[in-house]
Amino acid sequence: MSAQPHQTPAESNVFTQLLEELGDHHGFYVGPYKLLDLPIILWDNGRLHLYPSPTAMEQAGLYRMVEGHPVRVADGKPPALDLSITNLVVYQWLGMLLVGIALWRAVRRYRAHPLRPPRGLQNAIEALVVFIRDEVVFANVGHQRLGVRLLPYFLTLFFFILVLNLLGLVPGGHTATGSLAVTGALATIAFFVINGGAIATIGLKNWLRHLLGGGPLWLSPILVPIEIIGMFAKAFALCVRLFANMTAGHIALLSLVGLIFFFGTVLIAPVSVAFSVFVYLLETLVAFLQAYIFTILTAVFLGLASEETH
Amino acid sequence: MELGLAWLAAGIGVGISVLGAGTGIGRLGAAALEAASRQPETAAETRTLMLIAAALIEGIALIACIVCILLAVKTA
Amino acid sequence: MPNFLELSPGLMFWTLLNFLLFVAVLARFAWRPLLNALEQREHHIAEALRQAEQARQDAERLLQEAQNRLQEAQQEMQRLIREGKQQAEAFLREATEKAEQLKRQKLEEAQRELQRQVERAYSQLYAEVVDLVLEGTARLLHQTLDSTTHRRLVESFLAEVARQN
Repeated sequence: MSAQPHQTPAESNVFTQLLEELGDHHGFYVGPYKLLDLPIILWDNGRLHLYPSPTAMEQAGLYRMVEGHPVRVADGKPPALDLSITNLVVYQWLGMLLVGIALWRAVRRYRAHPLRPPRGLQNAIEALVVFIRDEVVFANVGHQRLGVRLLPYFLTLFFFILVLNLLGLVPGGHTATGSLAVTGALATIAFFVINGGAIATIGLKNWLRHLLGGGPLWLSPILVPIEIIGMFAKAFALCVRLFANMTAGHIALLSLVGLIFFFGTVLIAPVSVAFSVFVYLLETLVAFLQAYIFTILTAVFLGLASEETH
Repeated sequence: MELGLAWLAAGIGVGISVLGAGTGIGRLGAAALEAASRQPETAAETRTLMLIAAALIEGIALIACIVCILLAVKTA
Repeated sequence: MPNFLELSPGLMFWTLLNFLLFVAVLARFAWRPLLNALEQREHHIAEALRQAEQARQDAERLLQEAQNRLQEAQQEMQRLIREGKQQAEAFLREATEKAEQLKRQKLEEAQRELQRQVERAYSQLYAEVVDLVLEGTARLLHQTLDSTTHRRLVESFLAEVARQN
């Protein structure tokens, strides 16, 4: 597939083509429409290659786009590292901007009238913040001081995931959290927060003792590998859960729309639309739920890992 | 032939994993409802625990589904 | 493998960068003032609640006091009424008793006086009778008898007559 799969004729599998929508692109897309070319940043042969757009890159002659990815013209292999700013990066920035504006407005009002009851957007943000603070972080992270120190991380995590999930539900929006790389990065940070927080709280010795899983020493050859796998599995499950939840809804929507093309008749459209609305509403719930689940699971794992001893 | 078998495997796999996850979440929901109706004052805590457990079950099911998707989109 | 299942290192790098930057910026410029303001307001609300509770308790205490005082006043009033009634009764009883006593005293006095008068009258009567009898007897016997001896004789006779009466 090229960088613009929408321009290819629809003679091939519609569903596969629609699935490509879920991926990342070297351009800023709203729905199927490309609004901007995004710069390409490659690290290859020990130096950085910067191009303002894929076209400029192809014109420069060193690299060309194959199936949406830059490859070397010389040997047809991908570059060592593709650090291009892509569609989903732009959606992250968009989400950060939205959260930033909302929080800025709320904070401005807090500064102006610290003791007045919250209003409108400020009220919604406050409800979420208080919920995350009391019900998610303080309720699950046993150590009060650890919870207070990591509160900014949890709050940011929740709002970051929530806004990216919701951006994916805005018509035309792309879901950054529906990409394994994004959720993988978030899970990597969660992994380090969980284990780093645990080591900082109970010390390296106690943390290593957790690896025994509370069993006797002679069981350690079995338990230690299990605990180590479990440690990574937690982060991996966080990553896959968020990705799959966000993608599954989109795939369901695409499948329902795909039914129209599959049957080749518009008569199926009412069924598709009715089910789509249902799935869409479900996805709205899932958007909030998954942001909450990711945050609370991180808090729960952190609480479990930073328990004194079994 | 090989692709057909992969698709078949994907379909059967998704079915089985959904069966498992559905059973698990169903039992979990039943237990949580029972606990919440028996002790309504701890309903909030029960709900949190239920969501966490549901998320863990769901995580496993989703990993299984990813495996199935990988089978289904097998092109070689 | 379809596009959306790829784990692209570039996107991962940018996500890490974005998120960590976002955490740092929000922690400094959003969460700190927001959480501080929340805490301040929660503190303020808790304080207001505490004050309201204090005021309520004060009011309750005052009401209780007023009620107590009212009850005390009522009790005092009843006590006074009861005492007054008792005093009036006692006074009445005393007066009655005094009047009764006075009446009895006067009656006794009158009786005693009457007795005395009667006795005096008797003794006068005796003396006169004795004298009369003596006179008569003297007249009869022409003073033959020693006056004192006969007088004693007659007196004893008269005392006998008085006893028989």
